[in-house]
Amino acid sequence: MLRFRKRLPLFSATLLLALLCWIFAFPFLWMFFASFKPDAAILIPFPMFPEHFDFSYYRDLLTGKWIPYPRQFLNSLFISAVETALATAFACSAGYVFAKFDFRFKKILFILAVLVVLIPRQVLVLPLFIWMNKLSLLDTPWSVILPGAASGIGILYFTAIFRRMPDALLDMARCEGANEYRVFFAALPLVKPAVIAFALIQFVLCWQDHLIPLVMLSTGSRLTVSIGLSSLNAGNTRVPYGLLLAGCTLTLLPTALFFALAYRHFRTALGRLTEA
Amino acid sequence: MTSLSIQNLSKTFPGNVHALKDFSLEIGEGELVAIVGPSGCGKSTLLRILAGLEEENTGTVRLGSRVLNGIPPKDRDIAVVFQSYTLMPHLSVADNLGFGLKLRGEKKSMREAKILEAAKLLNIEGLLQRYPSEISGGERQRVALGRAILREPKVFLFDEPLSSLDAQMRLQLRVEIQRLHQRLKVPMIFVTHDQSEALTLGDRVVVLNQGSIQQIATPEELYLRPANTFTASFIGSPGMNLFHGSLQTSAAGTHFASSALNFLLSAEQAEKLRDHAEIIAGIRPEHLHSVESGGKLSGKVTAVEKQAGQTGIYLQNDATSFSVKTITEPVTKVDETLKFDFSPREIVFFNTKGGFLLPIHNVGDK
Repeated sequence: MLRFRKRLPLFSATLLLALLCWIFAFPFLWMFFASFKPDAAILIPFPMFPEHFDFSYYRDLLTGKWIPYPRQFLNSLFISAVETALATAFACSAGYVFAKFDFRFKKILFILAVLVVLIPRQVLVLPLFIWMNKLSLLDTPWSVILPGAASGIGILYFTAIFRRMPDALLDMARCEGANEYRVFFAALPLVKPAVIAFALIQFVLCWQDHLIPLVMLSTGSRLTVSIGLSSLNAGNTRVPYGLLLAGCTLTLLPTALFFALAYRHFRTALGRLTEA
Repeated sequence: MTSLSIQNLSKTFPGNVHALKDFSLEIGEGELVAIVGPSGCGKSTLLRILAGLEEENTGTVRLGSRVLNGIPPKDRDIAVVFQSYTLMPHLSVADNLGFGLKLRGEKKSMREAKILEAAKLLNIEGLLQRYPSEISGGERQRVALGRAILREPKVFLFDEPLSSLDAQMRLQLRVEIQRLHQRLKVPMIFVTHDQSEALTLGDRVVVLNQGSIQQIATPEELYLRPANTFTASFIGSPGMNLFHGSLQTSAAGTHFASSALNFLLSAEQAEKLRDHAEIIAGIRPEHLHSVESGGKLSGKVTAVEKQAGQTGIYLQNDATSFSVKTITEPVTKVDETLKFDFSPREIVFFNTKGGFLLPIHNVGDK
C-alpha cells in the first residue's frame, strides 16, 4: 500500500503527460496517415491507419503535377537557410557589441532594437514592400530574406547571453594577442548552444512564414512551400485533401530534422537561461 | 631585460571617481613589486591600464625606452594572470596553454613542444588532455600561469591570482610564483588585497589607498616604519595600535598623555617632537608584553582570538580599543583587566595633520 502511495504521483504524472503527448501528436499523426487515403476516407478519422498506402499524392507533388512543388521546396530551403544565417550573424554580433562595449547612442539604439520587437510585422509589411520595390528586389528571394535578416528579438537575446560572459575571458584573449575581431570569434564557442538554439527557432519561423512571402513573391516557381500549398486550396482549384496533407507532411521534414539534430543544444541553452 | 616605468598615471571614471591619482613607480629588471590596498583602492585599475585594457587620463607608461600609451594589449609584451581562472571551458588544458600561441600564429609542432615544456615546468603534464571543468582550482590557475609564461612577456602582471584558492593551494602557488620570478627575471607586478601575500612575495611593496600611493618600501621597512597611519593600521594583522594624545611637560620631563596611554618620552624623543602639541603614538600588537603590575597601558579584554601558535587579544580602555599579539599560551578571559608595557624604542609617532610618520629614530634598531 505504501509503495503504491509513493508511486501514485509519478503514475498520475506519467498518465497526464501521455495524454498531453497524444493531444499534441494526434493532428500530425492524422495528417501523416490521411495523406495516403482517398478523399472519401479522409473525413472519417478512425481507423486512423489507411487500408492501403497510396503514394500517388506524393508522386503528384514531387513530379510537380499541380504546383512546382520541388522548386518551391528548394526556394523555401534557400530562403530559410540564408535568412537564418544572416539573422544569426547580425543578432549575435550586435548582441556582443551591446553587451560588451560602451559607445555613443548605445541606449537609443538598444531601444530601437526593442521597438522592432514591439511593432507587429503586419504594420511593417507595406513600407517593406515599397522599399523592396524601389530596390527592384520584388519577386526575388532577397525580398523575403532581407526583412527577416534583422531580428530585434535576436539582438535582445544575444545581448542577454553575452552579458553573462565574464569580461576576464575577453580581456585574457586581448592580452594573449587577439584583436577585437579575434576576441569575438574566441568568445563565440562559449555561446554555441545559444547560437544553435536561436538559429533553430529562426529557421522554423522563417520556414513557416506566410505574410512576407505572400506579399513579396508572385511567380509560381518563386513561391515558398507555405504559399505554394495554400495556393492549391485557393480560388477555383479543387484538389484532393490528401494532396494538401502530403504537401504538409513533406514540408514538416526539414524543420523536424533540424530540430532533432539541434535539440541537445537547444535544451542546454534553455537550461542556462533558466539558471540565470 | 627591460624595466617598467610608470609616471604620473591618473584615471578618473565617470561620476568623478578618482581611481588612480598621480601614480609613479619604477620597476627594475627582475623585480617583483606587490601592490596592496583595500578593495576599490585602484590596484586593479592600475593593472588594467598597464595591460592596455583601460585607457589612462594622464601619465606615461614605458617599457624600456618604448612608450606603451595607446598601444593595444596584444602588442604590449605584457602577460596577465587574472583572478578568475580565465580558461576557455571548451578547450583542453593543452589547447588553453597554447591559446595565445595559436592566436599569434605559432606553428603546430613548435606549439606542442612549448606547451609540453611549460606543462613540465608547472607539473601539469598529466592534465594536458583534460578540460578545465575536470581539474581543481589550483590546477586551473597553474594552467593560466603556464599560458602567461608561453606569452614570453617582458612584464608579468598578476591580478589577485591566488584569492580564489584555498589556503594550502595559495601557499603552493605562491612558492611557484617565487620560483618563476627567480627563473624569468622580468619585472612583475603582483596585485593583492592580502598583505601577507604582498609582504612575502614583493621585493618592494606599494600600499595604495583611494588611488594614491601611501608608501613604497621593502616589506621590513613597511612594517617597522609605516609612512602614515593608514599604512600602520593596514599592514599587520591586527594592524598597529594608534593612540591620539598630547604632549605634556612636567618636572619629570615630557609625557605622552592620552586617555588610555601615558608614558614619559626619552630626551631624544622629547626634543624631536617639541613642535607638536597633538600627536599620534603607534605600537605594534606584538611589541606589547603583559606585566603583573605597573605598565604603561591597561585595558579590559573584549575578545580573545586563538590562532595556531599565537593569540590575539582585543582590549578596550575607555573609548580606545587596541590589540595585543602573544605567542605564549593565554590564560586570559573576557572582561579581565590586563596591564602592558613596551620598550620606548618600539613606539613610533605620527602627526595629527595627515597622520604622517615623524622621524625620531630607526625603529627596531637596538
